[in-house]
Amino acid sequence: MSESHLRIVAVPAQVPIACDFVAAAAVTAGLDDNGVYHCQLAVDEACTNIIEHGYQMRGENQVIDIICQTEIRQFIISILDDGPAFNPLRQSTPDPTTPLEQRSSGGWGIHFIRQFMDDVQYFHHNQRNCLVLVKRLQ
Amino acid sequence: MNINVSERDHVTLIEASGRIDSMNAHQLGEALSHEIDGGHSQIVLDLANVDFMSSAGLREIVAALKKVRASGDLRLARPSPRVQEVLEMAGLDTIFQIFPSQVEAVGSY
Repeated sequence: MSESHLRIVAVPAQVPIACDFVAAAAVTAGLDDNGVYHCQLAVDEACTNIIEHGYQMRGENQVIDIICQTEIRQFIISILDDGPAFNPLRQSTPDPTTPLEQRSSGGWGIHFIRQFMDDVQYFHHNQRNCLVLVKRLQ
Repeated sequence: MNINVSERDHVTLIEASGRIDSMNAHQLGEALSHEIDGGHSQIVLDLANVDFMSSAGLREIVAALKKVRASGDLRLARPSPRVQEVLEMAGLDTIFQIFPSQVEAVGSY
Protein backbone atom coordinates (compact mmCIF):
# COMPACT_ATOMS: atom_id res chain seq x y z
CA MET A 1 0.00 0.00 0.00
CA SER A 2 1.47 3.34 -1.01
CA GLU A 3 0.22 6.82 -1.88
CA SER A 4 1.76 9.83 -3.62
CA HIS A 5 0.36 13.24 -4.42
CA LEU A 6 1.12 15.88 -7.04
CA ARG A 7 -0.42 19.33 -7.44
CA ILE A 8 -0.08 21.09 -10.79
CA VAL A 9 -1.18 24.50 -12.01
CA ALA A 10 -4.08 24.00 -14.42
CA VAL A 11 -2.32 24.97 -17.63
CA PRO A 12 -1.48 22.73 -20.63
CA ALA A 13 2.28 22.97 -20.06
CA GLN A 14 1.89 21.19 -16.73
CA VAL A 15 0.02 18.17 -18.10
CA PRO A 16 3.18 16.25 -19.13
CA ILE A 17 4.43 16.67 -15.56
CA ALA A 18 1.27 14.96 -14.32
CA CYS A 19 1.75 12.19 -16.89
CA ASP A 20 5.35 11.63 -15.83
CA PHE A 21 4.34 11.55 -12.17
CA VAL A 22 1.66 8.94 -12.84
CA ALA A 23 3.99 6.90 -15.05
CA ALA A 24 6.58 6.70 -12.29
CA ALA A 25 3.96 5.61 -9.76
CA ALA A 26 2.52 3.07 -12.22
CA VAL A 27 5.96 1.56 -12.82
CA THR A 28 6.52 1.28 -9.08
CA ALA A 29 3.11 -0.37 -8.76
CA GLY A 30 4.22 -3.04 -11.22
CA LEU A 31 2.20 -2.20 -14.33
CA ASP A 32 3.71 -3.29 -17.65
CA ASP A 33 4.70 -0.84 -20.41
CA ASN A 34 1.24 -0.85 -21.98
CA GLY A 35 -0.46 -0.35 -18.64
CA VAL A 36 1.82 2.56 -17.80
CA TYR A 37 1.14 4.13 -21.20
CA HIS A 38 -2.62 3.74 -20.80
CA CYS A 39 -2.48 5.48 -17.42
CA GLN A 40 -0.45 8.34 -18.93
CA LEU A 41 -2.86 8.79 -21.80
CA ALA A 42 -5.90 8.68 -19.51
CA VAL A 43 -4.37 11.32 -17.22
CA ASP A 44 -3.47 13.49 -20.21
CA GLU A 45 -7.06 13.34 -21.46
CA ALA A 46 -8.59 13.95 -18.03
CA CYS A 47 -6.34 16.92 -17.19
CA THR A 48 -6.82 18.41 -20.66
CA ASN A 49 -10.61 18.21 -20.26
CA ILE A 50 -10.40 19.98 -16.89
CA ILE A 51 -8.15 22.73 -18.25
CA GLU A 52 -10.11 23.29 -21.47
CA HIS A 53 -13.68 22.83 -20.23
CA GLY A 54 -13.68 23.01 -16.42
CA TYR A 55 -11.36 25.99 -16.09
CA GLN A 56 -12.08 27.32 -19.63
CA MET A 57 -8.32 27.78 -20.28
CA ARG A 58 -8.13 30.29 -17.41
CA GLY A 59 -6.47 28.01 -14.91
CA GLU A 60 -3.33 30.00 -14.12
CA ASN A 61 -4.58 30.49 -10.57
CA GLN A 62 -6.23 27.08 -10.31
CA VAL A 63 -4.84 23.67 -9.49
CA ILE A 64 -5.36 20.02 -10.30
CA ASP A 65 -4.45 17.43 -7.68
CA ILE A 66 -3.35 13.96 -8.73
CA ILE A 67 -3.20 11.20 -6.15
CA CYS A 68 -1.78 7.75 -6.97
CA GLN A 69 -2.55 4.85 -4.66
CA THR A 70 -1.25 1.33 -4.99
CA GLU A 71 -3.30 -1.37 -3.33
CA ILE A 72 -2.84 -5.13 -3.39
CA ARG A 73 -4.79 -5.67 -6.60
CA GLN A 74 -5.20 -2.24 -8.13
CA PHE A 75 -3.53 1.03 -9.03
CA ILE A 76 -5.81 4.01 -8.42
CA ILE A 77 -5.42 7.52 -9.84
CA SER A 78 -7.66 10.24 -8.39
CA ILE A 79 -7.82 13.57 -10.24
CA LEU A 80 -9.39 16.48 -8.38
CA ASP A 81 -10.27 19.98 -9.55
CA ASP A 82 -12.27 22.99 -8.41
CA GLY A 83 -14.13 23.72 -11.64
CA PRO A 84 -17.93 23.69 -11.90
CA ALA A 85 -19.44 20.30 -11.04
CA PHE A 86 -19.20 18.17 -14.15
CA ASN A 87 -19.55 14.43 -14.56
CA PRO A 88 -17.70 13.46 -17.75
CA LEU A 89 -19.10 9.94 -17.54
CA ARG A 90 -22.57 11.31 -18.36
CA GLN A 91 -21.38 12.47 -21.77
CA SER A 92 -22.55 10.41 -24.71
CA THR A 93 -20.01 8.02 -26.15
CA PRO A 94 -18.86 8.96 -29.66
CA ASP A 95 -19.52 6.40 -32.36
CA PRO A 96 -16.33 5.11 -34.05
CA THR A 97 -18.34 4.18 -37.14
CA THR A 98 -19.39 7.79 -37.82
CA PRO A 99 -18.41 8.85 -41.37
CA LEU A 100 -15.73 11.52 -41.73
CA GLU A 101 -18.15 14.25 -42.85
CA GLN A 102 -20.36 13.82 -39.77
CA ARG A 103 -17.60 13.67 -37.18
CA SER A 104 -17.46 16.34 -34.51
CA SER A 105 -14.12 17.19 -33.02
CA GLY A 106 -14.79 16.37 -29.36
CA GLY A 107 -15.71 13.53 -27.08
CA TRP A 108 -12.88 11.13 -27.72
CA GLY A 109 -10.88 11.91 -24.59
CA ILE A 110 -13.36 10.41 -22.16
CA HIS A 111 -13.90 7.50 -24.55
CA PHE A 112 -10.18 6.72 -24.43
CA ILE A 113 -10.18 6.99 -20.62
CA ARG A 114 -13.01 4.45 -20.42
CA GLN A 115 -11.29 2.11 -22.87
CA PHE A 116 -7.82 2.30 -21.34
CA MET A 117 -8.78 1.98 -17.69
CA ASP A 118 -10.46 -0.99 -15.98
CA ASP A 119 -12.83 1.18 -13.97
CA VAL A 120 -13.71 4.89 -13.98
CA GLN A 121 -15.83 6.66 -11.36
CA TYR A 122 -16.83 10.26 -10.74
CA PHE A 123 -17.64 11.95 -7.44
CA HIS A 124 -18.42 15.52 -6.47
CA HIS A 125 -17.27 15.97 -2.90
CA ASN A 126 -16.36 19.04 -0.83
CA GLN A 127 -17.04 21.29 -3.84
CA ARG A 128 -14.46 19.39 -5.90
CA ASN A 129 -14.74 17.18 -8.97
CA CYS A 130 -13.01 13.85 -8.45
CA LEU A 131 -12.40 11.41 -11.28
CA VAL A 132 -11.10 8.04 -10.13
CA LEU A 133 -9.26 5.85 -12.63
CA VAL A 134 -8.50 2.26 -11.74
CA LYS A 135 -6.08 -0.17 -13.35
CA ARG A 136 -6.05 -3.72 -12.05
CA LEU A 137 -2.69 -5.24 -11.16
CA GLN A 138 -1.97 -8.73 -12.47
CA MET B 1 7.35 16.71 -30.99
CA ASN B 2 9.47 17.22 -34.09
CA ILE B 3 8.04 17.70 -37.57
CA ASN B 4 10.01 17.30 -40.76
CA VAL B 5 8.50 18.16 -44.16
CA SER B 6 9.95 17.00 -47.48
CA GLU B 7 8.91 16.14 -51.03
CA ARG B 8 9.00 12.61 -52.54
CA ASP B 9 7.83 12.04 -56.11
CA HIS B 10 5.42 15.03 -56.00
CA VAL B 11 4.05 13.86 -52.66
CA THR B 12 4.46 15.90 -49.49
CA LEU B 13 5.94 13.74 -46.76
CA ILE B 14 5.47 14.92 -43.18
CA GLU B 15 7.40 12.96 -40.57
CA ALA B 16 6.34 13.54 -36.97
CA SER B 17 8.13 12.15 -33.95
CA GLY B 18 7.83 12.24 -30.18
CA ARG B 19 4.81 13.11 -28.11
CA ILE B 20 1.66 14.63 -29.64
CA ASP B 21 -0.66 15.97 -26.96
CA SER B 22 -2.94 18.91 -26.25
CA MET B 23 0.03 21.21 -25.73
CA ASN B 24 1.56 20.74 -29.16
CA ALA B 25 -1.06 19.09 -31.40
CA HIS B 26 -1.82 22.48 -32.96
CA GLN B 27 1.72 22.49 -34.38
CA LEU B 28 0.91 19.35 -36.36
CA GLY B 29 -2.36 20.90 -37.48
CA GLU B 30 -0.58 24.04 -38.58
CA ALA B 31 2.02 22.05 -40.53
CA LEU B 32 -0.71 20.12 -42.32
CA SER B 33 -2.76 23.27 -43.02
CA HIS B 34 0.31 25.07 -44.32
CA GLU B 35 0.85 22.33 -46.92
CA ILE B 36 -2.80 22.10 -47.90
CA ASP B 37 -3.17 25.88 -48.17
CA GLY B 38 -0.01 25.93 -50.28
CA GLY B 39 -1.64 23.68 -52.85
CA HIS B 40 -0.06 20.42 -51.76
CA SER B 41 -2.94 17.99 -51.75
CA GLN B 42 -1.11 14.66 -51.86
CA ILE B 43 0.20 14.23 -48.36
CA VAL B 44 1.71 11.33 -46.42
CA LEU B 45 2.01 11.62 -42.64
CA ASP B 46 4.63 9.24 -41.23
CA LEU B 47 3.84 8.34 -37.62
CA ALA B 48 6.45 5.63 -37.03
CA ASN B 49 8.28 7.61 -34.36
CA VAL B 50 5.29 9.02 -32.52
CA ASP B 51 5.26 7.32 -29.14
CA PHE B 52 2.30 9.18 -27.61
CA MET B 53 -0.80 10.55 -29.32
CA SER B 54 -3.81 11.84 -27.43
CA SER B 55 -7.23 12.74 -28.82
CA ALA B 56 -5.90 16.27 -29.48
CA GLY B 57 -3.58 14.81 -32.14
CA LEU B 58 -6.40 12.82 -33.70
CA ARG B 59 -8.51 15.97 -33.86
CA GLU B 60 -5.85 17.70 -35.93
CA ILE B 61 -5.40 14.91 -38.46
CA VAL B 62 -9.17 14.49 -38.86
CA ALA B 63 -9.53 18.25 -39.47
CA ALA B 64 -6.72 18.11 -42.04
CA LEU B 65 -8.29 15.13 -43.79
CA LYS B 66 -11.63 16.95 -44.04
CA LYS B 67 -9.84 19.97 -45.46
CA VAL B 68 -7.81 18.13 -48.09
CA ARG B 69 -10.36 15.55 -49.23
CA ALA B 70 -11.93 17.87 -51.81
CA SER B 71 -8.71 18.07 -53.81
CA GLY B 72 -6.49 15.25 -52.60
CA ASP B 73 -5.82 13.01 -49.63
CA LEU B 74 -3.92 12.65 -46.39
CA ARG B 75 -2.56 9.12 -46.01
CA LEU B 76 -0.80 7.63 -43.02
CA ALA B 77 2.43 5.64 -43.07
CA ARG B 78 3.57 3.04 -40.52
CA PRO B 79 1.81 4.27 -37.39
CA SER B 80 3.52 3.06 -34.24
CA PRO B 81 1.55 0.42 -32.28
CA ARG B 82 0.44 3.06 -29.79
CA VAL B 83 -0.84 5.36 -32.53
CA GLN B 84 -2.48 2.42 -34.28
CA GLU B 85 -4.31 1.59 -31.06
CA VAL B 86 -5.95 5.02 -30.75
CA LEU B 87 -6.67 5.16 -34.49
CA GLU B 88 -8.58 1.88 -34.18
CA MET B 89 -10.32 2.93 -30.98
CA ALA B 90 -11.65 6.05 -32.72
CA GLY B 91 -12.57 4.12 -35.88
CA LEU B 92 -10.06 6.12 -37.91
CA ASP B 93 -8.31 3.03 -39.26
CA THR B 94 -11.24 2.67 -41.65
CA ILE B 95 -11.33 6.36 -42.62
CA PHE B 96 -7.64 6.95 -43.32
CA GLN B 97 -5.68 4.95 -45.85
CA ILE B 98 -2.85 3.47 -43.81
CA PHE B 99 0.30 1.92 -45.27
CA PRO B 100 3.01 -0.20 -43.64
CA SER B 101 5.87 1.75 -45.25
CA GLN B 102 6.70 5.24 -46.49
CA VAL B 103 7.43 3.88 -49.97
CA GLU B 104 4.03 2.25 -50.25
CA ALA B 105 2.24 5.34 -48.93
CA VAL B 106 4.03 7.67 -51.34
CA GLY B 107 3.62 5.19 -54.20
CA SER B 108 -0.13 4.92 -53.58
CA TYR B 109 -0.69 8.32 -55.22
